Amino acid sequence: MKKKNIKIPKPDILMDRLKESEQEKYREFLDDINLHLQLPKKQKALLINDFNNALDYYLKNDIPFEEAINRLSPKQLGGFYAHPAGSWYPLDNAAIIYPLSMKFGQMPMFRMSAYLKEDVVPEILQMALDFTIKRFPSFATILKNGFFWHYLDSTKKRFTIEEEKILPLLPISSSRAQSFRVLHYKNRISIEYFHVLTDGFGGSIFLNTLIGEYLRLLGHDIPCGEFLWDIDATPHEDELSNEFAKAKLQKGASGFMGKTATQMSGKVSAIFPCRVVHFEMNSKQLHEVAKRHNATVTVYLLAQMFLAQKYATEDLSGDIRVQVPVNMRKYNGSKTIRNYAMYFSCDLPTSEIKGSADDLIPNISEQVREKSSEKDMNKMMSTTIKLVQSLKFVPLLIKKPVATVVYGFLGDKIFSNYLSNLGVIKVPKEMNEYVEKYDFILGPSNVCRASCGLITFNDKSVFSITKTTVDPSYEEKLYELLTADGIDIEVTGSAVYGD
Amino acid sequence: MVIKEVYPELSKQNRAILKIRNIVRYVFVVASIACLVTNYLVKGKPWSIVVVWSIFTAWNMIFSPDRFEFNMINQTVKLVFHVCVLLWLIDICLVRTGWYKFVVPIVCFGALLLTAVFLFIDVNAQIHNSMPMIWLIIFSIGFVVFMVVHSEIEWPVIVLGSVAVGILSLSIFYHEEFLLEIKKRFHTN
Repeated sequence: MKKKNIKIPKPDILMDRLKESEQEKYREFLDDINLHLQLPKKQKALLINDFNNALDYYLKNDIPFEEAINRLSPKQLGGFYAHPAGSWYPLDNAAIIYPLSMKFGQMPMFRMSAYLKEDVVPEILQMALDFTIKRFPSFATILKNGFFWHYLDSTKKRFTIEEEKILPLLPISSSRAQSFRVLHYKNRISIEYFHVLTDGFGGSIFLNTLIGEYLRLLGHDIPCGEFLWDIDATPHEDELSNEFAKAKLQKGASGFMGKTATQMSGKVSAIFPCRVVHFEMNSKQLHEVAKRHNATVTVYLLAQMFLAQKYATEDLSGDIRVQVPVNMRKYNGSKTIRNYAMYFSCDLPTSEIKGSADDLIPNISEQVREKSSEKDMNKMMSTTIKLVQSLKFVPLLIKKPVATVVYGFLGDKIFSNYLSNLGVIKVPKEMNEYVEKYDFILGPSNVCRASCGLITFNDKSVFSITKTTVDPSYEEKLYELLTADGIDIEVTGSAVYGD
Repeated sequence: MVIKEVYPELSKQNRAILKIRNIVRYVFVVASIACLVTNYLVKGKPWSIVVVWSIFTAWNMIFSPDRFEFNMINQTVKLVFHVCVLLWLIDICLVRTGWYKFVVPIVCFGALLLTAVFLFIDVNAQIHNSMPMIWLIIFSIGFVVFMVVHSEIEWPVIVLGSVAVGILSLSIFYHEEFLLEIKKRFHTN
């Protein structure tokens, strides 16, 4: 295992900078930290090091010592690092498939990023994570094999931030013993989640709460809210519940199976993802254009995606099918941060995709309205629950290879593309002035050449495309279609990683 | 369409690692198929099965490590499983003297002692990783019973049985933790 050089400002160095009265307080401060940490020696040293690094940063930036130790009060650690790891969580019904269907070099993941108006201070971000994690006990877990099902087992350790150096959404190394990755790069804070932990909703709450704490540690007054949780509050059981277990089973079945969909023609790259592209748009402008077409933003973008997808494929037979996740919380107001989303598929025969977006919108609108109805979603949820129940006594040893083969045969092949619209990110207005925008990237698929995500913050909507083919025709066509409709787009993204 | 790059450049080392893993994967698949075909054509002892299992072991342990449960106890038990199967294959495919009955218990009790050391060095943390060790204890006891019923008992079998029962009795001191661990592992959702 590669050892990392840890920058440790020695307490002596800090001591030299402190007045005599402050030195006594610093010793008390260290004693107080120690009281909150009942961890193995190495983990304890890492956490104390985090406090020292943050203190060092404050002192270098002329923040008075008293103010610095107030901001870093060890009370904020709560009992998280002092309690032994005892809790565990069975996977929710939506997450169950993820570890079963994992193939070589792949991990179902998604990523959310927030772009601040100033560069990130790593020392403070690490402290913010040290303080925030206690509020999200289901995130402080690692996946384990059970005899019948996988489960999430809690782990007590110092969760680490990293400087972004690697490919986005690269599977999390097994030796890390954590199921998410907090990255920073210039002014961007990103969290990459293993999908067994949460969905986009839960992911956005954690990201907002982490950023809120980060800004507070930098001295800004950020209140808590519905989508930015108070890190000192006690986690509520509703936040950790498996909502599928509470659902009333419906009669009738909603199938997961389907015919294989038409894919884009570009060669699948050996490296996933081989590129990430963001279209940054003005949200009002996007909304107005969609309205002009008598469509919602999701329907309008779906129409343009179908047109671009057809342009990027040479296979003119079959159907193009886009999977659209639906946040089930909108039907019952659930507060859970576990996975609680179902999906529907928006299908169009390739031969019928012609003309302009206006020609496709009535059909797509109708499909979205019908297929995302509460009744249909509940039916699908019931099917998921029944499937899970029927397999509950089958050992994992048998389920895993069967699921891998079945998922390999169908899985992503029944879709051509994905569109996950996370909607508008709401944070307290005091935070608005420090955050520029958000983006949301779906994990790469080894079949679908593109997966798309949309997120809106303030006046900026960011449409992100995760590519698994170098062929740029899809995003180029989409760009052409959107700009032709009068939408101003700033395109950002990564270099081409694959070949 | 001009794309403004907002991601760090991927280092050459990272690119190389990603490529090497893919290349090794294909090399291993081709080598395995080549061995099976060659063995079939030249006849003789089924040595290719031993080679294919060895390649699979190398792939599993080095190039495709577990995505989760990557801890010392689990990795030791996983390695022991691969080694025991390999020893058994060498015996039935090549040697055919039944020496696996002598060697496998030695490997198993060695692994049991090692995993017990990992566990008891830091019981509070490692108890959550103890299930693979419990599986190894169950396998060891099963193996001893099998040997008692079907074969002669030699000293490694006696030592294996003693070590397995010994570790099991030590775990009585932590029975609550072990029971919770078993409850988690056998949950049906």
